[in-house]
Amino acid sequence: MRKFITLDGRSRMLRSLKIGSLVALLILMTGVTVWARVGGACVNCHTMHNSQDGVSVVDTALPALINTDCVGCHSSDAETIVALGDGTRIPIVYTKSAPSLEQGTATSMLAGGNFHWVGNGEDNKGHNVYGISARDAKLSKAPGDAGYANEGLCKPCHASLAEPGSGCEGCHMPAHHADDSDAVVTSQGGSYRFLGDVMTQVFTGYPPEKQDPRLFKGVRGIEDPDWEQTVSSTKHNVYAGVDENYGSYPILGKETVGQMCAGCHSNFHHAMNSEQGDFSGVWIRHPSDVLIPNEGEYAAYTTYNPLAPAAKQTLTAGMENSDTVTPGSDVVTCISCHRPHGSPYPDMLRWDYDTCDAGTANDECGCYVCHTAKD
Amino acid sequence: MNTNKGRKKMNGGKIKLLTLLAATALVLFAAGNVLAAASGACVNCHTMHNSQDGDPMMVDGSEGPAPALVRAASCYGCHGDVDIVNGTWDNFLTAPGKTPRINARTYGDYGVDGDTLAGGSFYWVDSAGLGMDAKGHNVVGVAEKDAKLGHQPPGWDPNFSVNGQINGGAETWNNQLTCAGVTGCHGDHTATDDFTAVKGGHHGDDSVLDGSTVAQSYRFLKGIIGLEDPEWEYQPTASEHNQYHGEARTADTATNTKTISYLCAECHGDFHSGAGTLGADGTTWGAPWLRHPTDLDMNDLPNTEYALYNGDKSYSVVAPVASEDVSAVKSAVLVGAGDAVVTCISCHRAHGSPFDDLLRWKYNEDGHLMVAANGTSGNVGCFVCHTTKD
Repeated sequence: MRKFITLDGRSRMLRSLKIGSLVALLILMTGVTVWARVGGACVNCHTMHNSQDGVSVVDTALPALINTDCVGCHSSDAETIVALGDGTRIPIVYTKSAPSLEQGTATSMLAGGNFHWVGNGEDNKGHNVYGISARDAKLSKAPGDAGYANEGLCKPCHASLAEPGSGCEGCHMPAHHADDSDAVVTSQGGSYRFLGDVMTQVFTGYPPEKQDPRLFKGVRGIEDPDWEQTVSSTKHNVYAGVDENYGSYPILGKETVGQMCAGCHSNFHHAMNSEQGDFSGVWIRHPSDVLIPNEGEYAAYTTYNPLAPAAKQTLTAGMENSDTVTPGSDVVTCISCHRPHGSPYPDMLRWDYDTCDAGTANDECGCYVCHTAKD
Repeated sequence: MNTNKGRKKMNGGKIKLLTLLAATALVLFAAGNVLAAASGACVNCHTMHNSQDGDPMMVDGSEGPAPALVRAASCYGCHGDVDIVNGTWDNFLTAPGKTPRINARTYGDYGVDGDTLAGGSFYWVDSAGLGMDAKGHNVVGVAEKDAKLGHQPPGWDPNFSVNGQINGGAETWNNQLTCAGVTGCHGDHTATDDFTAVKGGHHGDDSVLDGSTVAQSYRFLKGIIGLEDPEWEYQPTASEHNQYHGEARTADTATNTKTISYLCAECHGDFHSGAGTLGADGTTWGAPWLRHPTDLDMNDLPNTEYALYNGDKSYSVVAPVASEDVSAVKSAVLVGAGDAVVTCISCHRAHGSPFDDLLRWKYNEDGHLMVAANGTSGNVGCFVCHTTKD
């Protein structure tokens, strides 16, 4: 079985298409929901009084009456989707054993990656998140921080995600019961993968007239129903991107996954071009949320490769099954190269960068998905 | 027993095709990786965000980040002897990706048995080292402005602009020489910075050097052609060297703009050709010369000392000659017309050398080696061509 990159021919694609169609038909027939909104028995996740047979379900009662925290629910020994048998399916982001890098198995790593490696002390292979890992031994703040890591209200998240008050909710705003039935999930549906504007948590106490109108938005996106446990060029998430430079202030006004990353790693985006106001200068950091040029070697990236996904500026239903990449319109984004939770590779890269040798063909090096002439 | 059982009989067409493929494979195998396009791990030269463990990734001591995401703020930052990954490297053979080093320190008498590459070395002009203006081009980031010449190249003539207008065509130079760009030698002369000037060069397809792009030009010298030695002439031999492109001129005009000498003429035009008393000659083409000729084919000087180039007409890596045909390395010259062309770099090394005027050998310094009629010099330096003057 090949790894996540599975662009190996027309016949395989056709076979996948047939299988995909059959699965879709079965899903429609059985009425199983495929979106991320939680389904299943309430008791799976909640405890009304934190008491069962006179014993506390959790040591300290948790908000929303849940019977464990984010990490507790989204961890497992090996499986990356835990099905509780009554429709409840839990995407797993932290497994005890290393997840499989082959797509399409019960233990395949999901799109966002896995905290397994950083949870085992390999700091550079994942975000150091509270409940999983201690603070990064080398990083005192988010790299690329534009100065927020040392400011009062900002510090809990911008300095480290491994501190109480930060953690998973430094990036996510849980909205498990939001109606995300629209093909393109927005803040109205709880945001793509619950990536809401976490800054609203900071400003909650502010009077409305003092709140930034760009707040209260969330990341847009189309969510693959099995979180890309199975993935191909015609079955995948669809990420949102734009072709513009973000300001250094961490507001999620553009509703893109890249802007979520830029919230903490601001300078990696804001200061990526010598002309910071636009892209007319030379690149001094790798571009993100920038058009894939429809010229040169980049014009050859026309078939979606989930190893190095391209983002869309305008999202419409059906794109999750489209293998079309349109240079000149689609954009490169942070997660074209990174998996935000973690990966087996340094810097949470989607591939082993050490194997990327210019002049040497390597279909497992994601760099060459865009840099098509450098292999 | 029929050992051919199960084999399919190939028709003539298939056999020809397979033969062609096999021949191609053999050629490629024999040639090895002779292209100059950068190879090796991306991380050797690039940093995506200029951040590793919270620290910059630059290898040249600069803060960064730098254009093109490279790990140095200048060309010299990568092509010096900096520690890129595995420690200080002594020469290109030990450098990651075989990065050609342009500040080598070991030259010897003629620069062919040390670690200096064909283009020479900035070591002697480098203001951080010896700082001797006469021994190299004073390039930004390497040396300060030449104390005697200022910014103006000797022999400057803005009319040598076919490959791009150097210095914007201005009569006076107000800016210092750079590696590339509008005041530089390499890359696109319309670009105002080094990085933009050589954009597309390092990773471009350079399998055909026709001068059409930066990548497809000899050593990224846009518009110039030639055959690149894969080891940049690290300790070259008569059969392993660059093959420079030259023109067998018959007049003091520059008609071929793809020669290595035309590259030099883009800044030092009057040393190459020009009206009146400018250029190598006046109204004629031939001795007596006004200036040392370049783009002159010694095949046009039969029955002279030049017909004994290098004694036995073998290619000299000390005083190399160019050729009109650069499809292959020439180990013997004066075999046919256009294969023994005197060129600027027959005598000079473009980056620098231990000797004044960037010469390839000691000429007019203490203990100078070029002494006429001393009867002992042999076929070295000037006497590689001037075979009877030693």
